[in-house]
Amino acid sequence: MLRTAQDSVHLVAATIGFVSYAALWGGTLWGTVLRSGWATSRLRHQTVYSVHMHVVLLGLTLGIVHGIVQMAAPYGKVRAIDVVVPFIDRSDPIGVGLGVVALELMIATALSVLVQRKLGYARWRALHSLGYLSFTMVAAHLLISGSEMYPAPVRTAVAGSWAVVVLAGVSTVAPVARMPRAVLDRLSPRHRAEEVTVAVDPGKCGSFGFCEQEAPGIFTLRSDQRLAYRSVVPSDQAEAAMRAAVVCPARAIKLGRLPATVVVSQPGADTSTVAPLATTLTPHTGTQAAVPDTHADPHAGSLARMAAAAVDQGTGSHPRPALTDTGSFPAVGTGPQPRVAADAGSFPRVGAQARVTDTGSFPRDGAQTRVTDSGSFPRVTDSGSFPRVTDSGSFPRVTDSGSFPRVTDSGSFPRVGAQPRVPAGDPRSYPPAGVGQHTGPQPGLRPVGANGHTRPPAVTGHGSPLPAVGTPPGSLPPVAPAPANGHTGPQPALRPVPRPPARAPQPGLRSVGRRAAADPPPEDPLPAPDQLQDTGRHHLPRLRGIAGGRS
Amino acid sequence: MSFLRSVGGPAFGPRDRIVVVGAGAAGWSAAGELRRLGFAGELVAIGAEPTRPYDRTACSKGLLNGHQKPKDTVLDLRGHPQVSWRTGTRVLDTDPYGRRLLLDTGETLAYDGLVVASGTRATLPRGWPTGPGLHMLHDLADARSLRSALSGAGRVAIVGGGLTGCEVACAVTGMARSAVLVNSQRFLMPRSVGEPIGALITAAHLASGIDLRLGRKVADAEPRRTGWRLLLDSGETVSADLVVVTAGEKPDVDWLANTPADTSDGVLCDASLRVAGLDGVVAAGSVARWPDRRHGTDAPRRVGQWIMAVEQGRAAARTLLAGDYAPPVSLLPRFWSDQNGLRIEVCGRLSDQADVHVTELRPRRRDTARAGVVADYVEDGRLAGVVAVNAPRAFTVACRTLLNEPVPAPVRVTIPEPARFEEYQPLRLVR
Repeated sequence: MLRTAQDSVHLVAATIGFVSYAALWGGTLWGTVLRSGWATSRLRHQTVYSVHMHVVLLGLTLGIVHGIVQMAAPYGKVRAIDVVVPFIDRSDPIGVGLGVVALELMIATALSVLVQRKLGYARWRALHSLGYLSFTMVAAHLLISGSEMYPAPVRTAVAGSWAVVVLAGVSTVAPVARMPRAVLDRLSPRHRAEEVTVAVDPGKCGSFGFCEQEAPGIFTLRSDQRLAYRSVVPSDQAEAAMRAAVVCPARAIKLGRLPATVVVSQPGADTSTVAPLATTLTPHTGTQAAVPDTHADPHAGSLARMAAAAVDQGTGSHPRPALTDTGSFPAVGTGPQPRVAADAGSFPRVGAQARVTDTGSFPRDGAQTRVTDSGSFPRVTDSGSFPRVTDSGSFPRVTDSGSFPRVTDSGSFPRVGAQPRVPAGDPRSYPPAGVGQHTGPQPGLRPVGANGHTRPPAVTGHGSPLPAVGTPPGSLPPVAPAPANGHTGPQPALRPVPRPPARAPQPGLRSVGRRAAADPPPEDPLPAPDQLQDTGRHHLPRLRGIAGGRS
Repeated sequence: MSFLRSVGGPAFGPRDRIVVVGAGAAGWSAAGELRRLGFAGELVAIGAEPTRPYDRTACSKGLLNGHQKPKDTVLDLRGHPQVSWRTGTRVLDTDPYGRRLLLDTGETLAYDGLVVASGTRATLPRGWPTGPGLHMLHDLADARSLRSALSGAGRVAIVGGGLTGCEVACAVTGMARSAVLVNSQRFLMPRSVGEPIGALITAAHLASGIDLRLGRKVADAEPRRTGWRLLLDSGETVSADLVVVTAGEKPDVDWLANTPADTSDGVLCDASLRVAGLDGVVAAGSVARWPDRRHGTDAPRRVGQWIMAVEQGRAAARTLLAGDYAPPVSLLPRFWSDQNGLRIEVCGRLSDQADVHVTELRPRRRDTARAGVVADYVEDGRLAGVVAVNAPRAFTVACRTLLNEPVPAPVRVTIPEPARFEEYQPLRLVR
């Protein structure tokens, strides 16, 4: 069969076009991988970056060639101007025009890399995401004006590859990536109240290693300078995770679902009164003067009365656990924290959300801004109902308030081994029972669920999945720490991470100027692989964790 | 409060009001820790800046080079329930016996416990003219104005080669502008990282295109029609569109001037961060001058670091609630900086008397700092401080060694007796 020149040119042009499309597809998809950091646990960032760049450049070059070759057809209808100016082609204005626009957009996107520093990072990123748009146009160009597109499998392949790129691009945008989790949270309010999720943004993580200093059981900086971490940590390690998030230089650590239980206690023995959750909102609402000097009368308001009653009951009358912990306060935050006004009369019940002055936009430029943040009740303030608090059976259950966890060691004290301990038997050095800790049976202080139902004492703690609120105080072992966090459910298989060998200072042994192997040997003392995950690959295990946590 | 104390309870109960002056890192963490420890009373935090608590380190880091937006720097308030944040408010005066604060709104605010976390203010060297194009970098507003000014500038002069100055210079070169850095020492960041590493970083910055004028001081600064002209003491002149002065800061303690507290350099505290001479007052953050046992000497000193401020805020909150039974506070200074791909990390103390052991991670490379280098400061055979550049693994191991190390015996500090009430003359309180 003798092929005409027209056919030959067409064959070459179409082949180049298809190869160009394939390269652009791979390059765009690889760009998604680059952005989301999926490959950073396997490949160096520089490698991922250069693969993306070269593949896309190849596709772009072939695309230009594809456009030029169209002009070589002897009886071609494509003029030079049709390849440059979109939508003026006489035979197929839309299809060819889309291809031209896509090509020019891609060239502009590629060239913007050169002025990335001049543009600034955020602007450049926004500009660079036009790559998805131009790839969409390329796919449309192929579907509209491709002459080999009649077989259905070809059409399906092209459309499918486009859908893959768009799906990958959209699903890795941070708000969308969080969405399944948010939906699950909303649907099942009782899953995993005790655990804290840790997520490290691989694009931000600079491998400084400060997180490992704070929480060596959670984070490990490997010898190849990549970070490995556990994505779900139990609540007794939550404070370490929180410290790590605070000291992270890159601010790359995000914690989710910090467990804390807020118990609204009732004054005196009268526990039948329902304390509405709305009273846990801030007592300073917008209608009040800016911190009125009510101090002249400290007895004003039932907050003072209630809390005074609580303290009076708590002071000195309850046995405290023997302290085997470090010199810090025992069982910090396990008690009713914070004790807030139960002044039900002066606050609207549920509608009080509206009165909480939200913090609004940032920064706030008003000279006199008053930010009254209700802090640890995010679910209450941003929704009309009580999605966090399910009235499941007879148990009110506070699953989340986003605040600090009930942890047992506090701050930097435990680090210091030789520090003089706070005398264990001295009650005066601690907040009294009922203010900061659950130490023993406190008859006057019955925990009340945040939705206002008092807990029936007869059924308290019969293997319910409740956190510390439901744990009868008397059942606590004498040492407050571990069970006081209320984590009575099945613990995830936690294996302590062995510490890397400490580098003791040995000045005599070290020669100035040279160290043979400054980094410890490459074998990493890491826990089992299912306990750890690398920076950038946290999406899949996290979803798995969600599925596993819903029991 | 006195009742609670007399019966042996905690220092502060649910009827009390604790005021945190300062909404920076120290005030933020102190407020959160107070709530976390179960303080059930009223908690008011007063911040001079009109913004929510934010991450101040971003001002010279992510905000300048555009990797962070202002909303990315907001600190998480989820752990701070029931805190009244009064931003945009200054405290003018303190009545330590009546336990009242005078605010710039004219009202007085009574307190039972007070956390002094007012931080520092950036200062200009004496005799400097001010005008458009001259910037200091301390808070969010400074960072925003500098960032917007940078977009139209081509050449930026930075006075001061400390940590902030170097970070600004790197941000400026990272935005494809040219930077001139004037430093009085022969190498950069002398106080922060010491001489050996400072010299290596200086070489790296020189290689990355920052115009360094080392060993020079600015003799005169003159605003021009289109920019500034700096006259150095060596006689050369530097013309620039913008001048960024990072030459010092001063503790914000004017509002404590009428109290018996020692405010000569920050606020003098005892080993537990209680402000000496004032009852029921603790201090945290870069304003607190306290004797740290880790530091080795008894001399109280101030530390202006982010992690330290957060940890001090927590410790001060614990001290405040523990009352007379607070243990001494001892913290490990740590900070970091990311400058043109150099990840600089420092922990511990870097004293001049220590033996310095410098270790290169890849000895054959010519760009020593970029290839990774660690300097160990050893005193009396013990590791006292570590500086690492691009060696996070070695730094982490060394830093954990330091963190796990026992702290030396307590330091005795004599606390001056508070002046008696009759001797005190309340001054400017209007109500």
